[in-house]
Amino acid sequence: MPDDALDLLQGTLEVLVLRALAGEPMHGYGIVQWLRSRTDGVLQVQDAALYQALRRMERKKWVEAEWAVTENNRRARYYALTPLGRTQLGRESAAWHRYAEAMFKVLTPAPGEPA
Amino acid sequence: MSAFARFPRRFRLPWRSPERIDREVDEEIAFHLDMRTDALIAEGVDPAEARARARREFGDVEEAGGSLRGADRAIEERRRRIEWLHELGMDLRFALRALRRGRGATLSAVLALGLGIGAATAVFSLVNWIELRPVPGVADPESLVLVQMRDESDGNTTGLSHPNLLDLRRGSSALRSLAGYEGIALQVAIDGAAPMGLMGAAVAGGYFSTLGLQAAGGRLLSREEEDSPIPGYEAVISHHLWRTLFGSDTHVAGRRIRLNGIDFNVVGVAPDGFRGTERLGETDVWVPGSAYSVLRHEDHWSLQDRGRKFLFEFVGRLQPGATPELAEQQLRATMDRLVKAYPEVNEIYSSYLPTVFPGIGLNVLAREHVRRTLLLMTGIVAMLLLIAWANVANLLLLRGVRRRGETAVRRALGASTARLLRSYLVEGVLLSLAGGAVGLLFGVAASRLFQGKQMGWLPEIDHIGLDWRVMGFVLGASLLSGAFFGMVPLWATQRENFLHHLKEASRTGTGRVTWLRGGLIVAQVTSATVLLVAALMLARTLHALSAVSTGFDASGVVAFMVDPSDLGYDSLQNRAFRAQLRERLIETPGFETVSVASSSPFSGGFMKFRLRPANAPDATPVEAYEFSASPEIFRTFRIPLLAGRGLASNGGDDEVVINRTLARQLFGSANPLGRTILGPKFGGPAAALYTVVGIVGDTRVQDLRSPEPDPVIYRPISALEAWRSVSLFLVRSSRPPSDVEATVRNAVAAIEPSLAIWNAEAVPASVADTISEERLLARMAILLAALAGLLAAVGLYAVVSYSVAQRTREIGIRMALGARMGAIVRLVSRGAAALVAAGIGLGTVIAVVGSRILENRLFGVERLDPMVYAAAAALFAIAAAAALWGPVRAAGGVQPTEALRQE
Repeated sequence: MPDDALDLLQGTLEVLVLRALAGEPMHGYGIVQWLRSRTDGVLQVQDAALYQALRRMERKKWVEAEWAVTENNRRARYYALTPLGRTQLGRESAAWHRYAEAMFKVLTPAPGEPA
Repeated sequence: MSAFARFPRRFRLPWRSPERIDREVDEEIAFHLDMRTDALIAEGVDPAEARARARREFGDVEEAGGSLRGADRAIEERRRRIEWLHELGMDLRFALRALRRGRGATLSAVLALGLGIGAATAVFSLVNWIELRPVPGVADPESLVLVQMRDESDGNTTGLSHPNLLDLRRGSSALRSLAGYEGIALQVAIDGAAPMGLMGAAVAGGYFSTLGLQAAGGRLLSREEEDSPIPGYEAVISHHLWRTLFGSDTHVAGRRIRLNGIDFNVVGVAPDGFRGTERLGETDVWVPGSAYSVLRHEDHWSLQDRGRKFLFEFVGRLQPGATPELAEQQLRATMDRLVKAYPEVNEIYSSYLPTVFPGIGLNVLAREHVRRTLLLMTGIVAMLLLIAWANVANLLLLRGVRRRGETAVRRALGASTARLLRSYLVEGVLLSLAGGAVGLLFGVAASRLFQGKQMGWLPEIDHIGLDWRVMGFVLGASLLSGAFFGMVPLWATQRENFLHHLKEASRTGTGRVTWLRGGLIVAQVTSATVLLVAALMLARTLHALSAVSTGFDASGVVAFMVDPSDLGYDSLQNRAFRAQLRERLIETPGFETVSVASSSPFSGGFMKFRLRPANAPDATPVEAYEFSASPEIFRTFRIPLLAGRGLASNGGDDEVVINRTLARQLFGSANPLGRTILGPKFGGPAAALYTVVGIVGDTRVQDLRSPEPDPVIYRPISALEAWRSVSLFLVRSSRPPSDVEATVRNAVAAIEPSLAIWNAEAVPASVADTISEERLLARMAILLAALAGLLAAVGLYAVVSYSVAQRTREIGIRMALGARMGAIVRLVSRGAAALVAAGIGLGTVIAVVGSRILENRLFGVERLDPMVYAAAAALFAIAAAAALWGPVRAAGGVQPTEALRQE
């Protein structure tokens, strides 16, 4: 685990999982791998917390789970986005974009200002 | 990757068991750890180290497993619930569609059920009103008991003085408290308003605290006030009186109320609905024990006088854990000591023993009788409900058979028995709830029929309220019916080879269904026959009772009570008042006679005199009803004078007139005129001699059922007046009762403005009152028997028409093969006739056995009167024949060619 890994803010994990599942259904380990590769290891998720988040999202009907067989012929529990989950992803990513932009604007030094 | 995500799911996933959930969580975590371990090994980490690192990275594996398992179970649970609701919704839609499709059958089922449940609801609401509901405002009614001083040998009761009450209570540790009370007739008035005659009660020993009542306004009487020997002029009024007389004045505490001409202070209002310890109570005012003598204008005797018994009813509260038996035991032991300690005044209590009755709300003396009557009513409506159930079950059965194909398809598509059962249950419950709703409306309307009726000698039922018990009853009856009906169609088709129905779409009933259908028909006919027998017996009884001659003519006679002694008049003033009132009334056009008497016929207020001829000490005494009256009484009731003369207005107190029956019982065929009779004397143990001056015609004044008229002895009113005040007036006039009442009211007000008149009513009404319970029962039985017959006939009609429709082809073939009309009619009606005959037979047997219940109510008809049973059988046979007529004709009219072309 790199030293500069960031702890996730509360509620952030769910957006990341939604995004991970936007492409295709994945099992829990796959989601971890995906997050690691997409953020170059900057965002670290504790595995146990990920599975808890998946249960929460299952209860909110954002994801559905089903057992399927992996490429290596092992049984794994796959999670897929529901239509509700997809809507939620759209809503949350828009909010994150606005938030990040605002943060960025505040933190970027104006011309002539010391950084 | 599976394709499941691409398609919205249309089918339910199988439920996951808790064990499976646990297994799957373990598997999921294991999979994760394996994958991570493999990845680390691929990076070159030592395998043991790789596994440890995977576990470390995961977090607390055990704890995570536990919480995931919990979360999964919760998710699964929720999913099941949602699924269940979803399916219920489907079932509901399905049921509504099915009920709409068979609109005719649905409607008749709802109506039949509505009738059954409605009748049951009406009777239940009556039972609830009289027997079940709590007395309003009373706390913890289970630990309350009623106590009476009762002579077991004849059921008579006596009262207690205040010191005896207090001593009794002190000697009984099983009772936390014991309060006594006694009713007082009150002339109630507030400033400017006309006086009213109401019932009040003097209370002692902690009446309000024993009952645990909370004042609706102001305060109630404390135990100290109730027991204080210094007359307290405080009064608690009923919520009813507060509304009607005080216009719901919120500052009523401290206002004046005039009771029997004496000013009292209203201290508070009793809880809404509380009118005494009885559910049908009519008490409106409560005063402390010491006010009793004040209100009765008796020379003030002290509450502390042990010999002055004035409390006749008692209510006690048991200590936690104590039983009524224990309380009774202790009370009797205490009473025994009190008899020994004060023999001169307490001797009477060696035969009148304290007797404890659990529970309050219903008069102890009325309990047995009322319970029997209510039980009989319950039995009658239960029969009707049974018929309605059988009726609806049969309808559903027919439909279930018709829907076999549908059931088979659903089974083939994988519906489990449980799933089908639920779907039918939903349909049954829906149907029953509709029936229950109709039943509730019908029942509430029908319960009005009980208004103004009397049972035994309970007060009239003014209205019957609805509460959650009645609602619960209707709901319970509906749900129970629904559950029953839900089973029927499934039961009819269960365990049959559904593939058979799928292929053949067979439409004829199989053995099992035919059997059940037959059984339901027999059940209906049986119940209808039993009801019919009961109705005929009660109707004959009513008819016979109405035909009994009373021997007097009360048409046009109005009775009313007015008692100036309430206001403290002595007997001389009373007599003057009466003369004045009589004079005023008799001047009124249309008033023929005005008389006073000790009581009016059938009021139950008679004394019984034990008499024997004066010169025959060995003769067996004869019991006769005593009637003190003014001379006009014979004209008022048009009782013929047979010999001698009537009572004289200035004759001696020892002159009496007797009726023919009494004359015969006392003197046989000898001439009774001028003979002397030995009998009791008012107001003392001494005997008196009476001289017979006249013989009048026979009358019935108390008992309509006895084989011969009641023996009656008439005495001059002056004899009674020497002993107590006389208050009952009887007026014969040609004017309507309301008119008479108004005239009387005005006349009384002109003489004494603060005097109210009581209970003005036409006397014939009170004669009718004596058989009001018989009338009520008979009418109810007749109405319900008619409904039962109708329902059973309609049920028969439906089943036979259905079977004819099913057998059209068979009938067609038979006709084509040359069967005659008669043979076809026999074919169709034989089965039905056998069922009806079986039902009538079974019903007759049950009625013969069950008629025992009715035995002591019957009059003019024997319990086993063959005519009644024959008439019931014949009536129902006619109804059945009428029901069969249509379908049988239809069978006879089948055209062979068309019938054969049908399939």
